Amino acid sequence: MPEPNRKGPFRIEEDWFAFVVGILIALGVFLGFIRHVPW
Amino acid sequence: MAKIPPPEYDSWFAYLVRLIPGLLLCILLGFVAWYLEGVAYGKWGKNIPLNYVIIAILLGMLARNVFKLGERFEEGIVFSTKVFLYVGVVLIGARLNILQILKVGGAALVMVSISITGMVLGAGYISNRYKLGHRVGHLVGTGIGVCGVSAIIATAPAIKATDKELLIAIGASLLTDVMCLLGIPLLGHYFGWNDTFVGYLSGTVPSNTAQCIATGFAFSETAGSVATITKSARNALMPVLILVMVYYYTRKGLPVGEKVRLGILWSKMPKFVLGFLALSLMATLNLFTSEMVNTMKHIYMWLFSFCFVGIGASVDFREFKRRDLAPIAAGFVLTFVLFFYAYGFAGYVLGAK
Repeated sequence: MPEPNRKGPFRIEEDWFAFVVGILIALGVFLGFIRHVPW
Repeated sequence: MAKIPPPEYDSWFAYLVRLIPGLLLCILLGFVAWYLEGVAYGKWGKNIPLNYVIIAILLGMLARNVFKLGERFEEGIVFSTKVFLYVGVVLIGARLNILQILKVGGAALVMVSISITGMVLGAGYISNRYKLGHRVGHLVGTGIGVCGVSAIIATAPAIKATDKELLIAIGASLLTDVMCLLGIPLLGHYFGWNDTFVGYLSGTVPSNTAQCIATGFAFSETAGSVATITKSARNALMPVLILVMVYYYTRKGLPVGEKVRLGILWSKMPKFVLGFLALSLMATLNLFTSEMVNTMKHIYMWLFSFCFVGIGASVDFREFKRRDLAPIAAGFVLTFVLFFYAYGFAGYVLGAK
C-alpha cells in the first residue's frame, strides 16, 4: 500500500512523534505512573 | 492499493477524520488477535507456530482482501504500521544492553552493508538487462536492500522517479515481504534454527521495518530483538545510501531532486532509533527494574499487535492482477538471493547457526 503524501501541513511527523511518545511512555513507567499492563 | 497522491489536509480536523477509521480498525483487530492467541494457546499449548503476530497479520489480510477496505482506512493503517511500530521499537531498547546492541548491530552492519550494495547493483543490472527502466531497478533494489517503502519514498524524489515507478517498486517490496513473513518463521520451526539466526535472517531479508520485526517476533521474543537491532542498523545506513545515489546520479548528469550535501545524513536518519538507543543506555546503567521492563514489554506487545494488523491490511492480492509483473518477479529473485546470502553470512561468517 503506498503511503499518502507526507508533505501536508496538518500531519503528524511519525518519526519524531514516535520518538517523543516512546520516551514519554518509558518515563511514565520509570516514574511509576504506568504499571502492571496486562497481556 | 490506494493511489499515491495523497491527501493534502486543510486542518487537523480533516486529518483526524481520515486517520481514525484505519486506526480504530487496527486497534480493534489487535485486541481480537490477542484474544485469539489466548484461545489457541489454551487449546494447543504455547509450542505452536502461531502467535499474536501471525494472527494479527492474517486478520489484517482478511480485512483488506475479503471485506475490501476502502480508501478512508488508508491513512490510519499507514499510521498504525509506522507509529505503533516505532514507539514499540523505542521501548524494546529497555530490554537490551547497549553492548549487546553494539555486538549484534556491528556484525549486522557488516552483513547489511554488503547486502545493500549487492542489492542496489543487482537490481540495476537486472533492470537494464530486462529493460525494466533504470530508476525502477534502483528503487526495487533500494526497497529490497534497505528498508522497503520508506527507503523507496525517500530515494524517489532524490532520483526524480515518477509515481508509476514508485508504485511498482512499493508493490514489489510489499509482496516479497509477505513471502518472508510467512516463510522464515515456518522454515525456522521446521529446521529447528536458533533464535539469533532467525533474528539475523528476519532483520536482513524482508524489506520493510515492520515486516522484519514481525518476522522475528513471529518466531520468538529473542529473534524479534535480534531482528530489531539488525533492521535498525540497516535503517541507519539509509541516509548514506541516499547520499551515494544522489552523488552517482549527479555524476552521471541525470536529473536529481537533491543536492549532494552532508545534511542528508541527518535529515534522512530514522529518529526513533535514537530513542531505542537512549532506553538501552538506561537499561545498561540498570535504571529499570525487571517489573518496569515487563510493563514496557507488555506495552510494546500491544502496540505491535495493532501495527501487525496494519501490515496485513497493506497486502492486497489484487495487485498481482493489476501490476506489471516483471519488477515484482525481479523483487522475488532479489529476495531469494538475499535470503541465501543472509543464510550463509549469518550462519557461517557470524557463526549464528
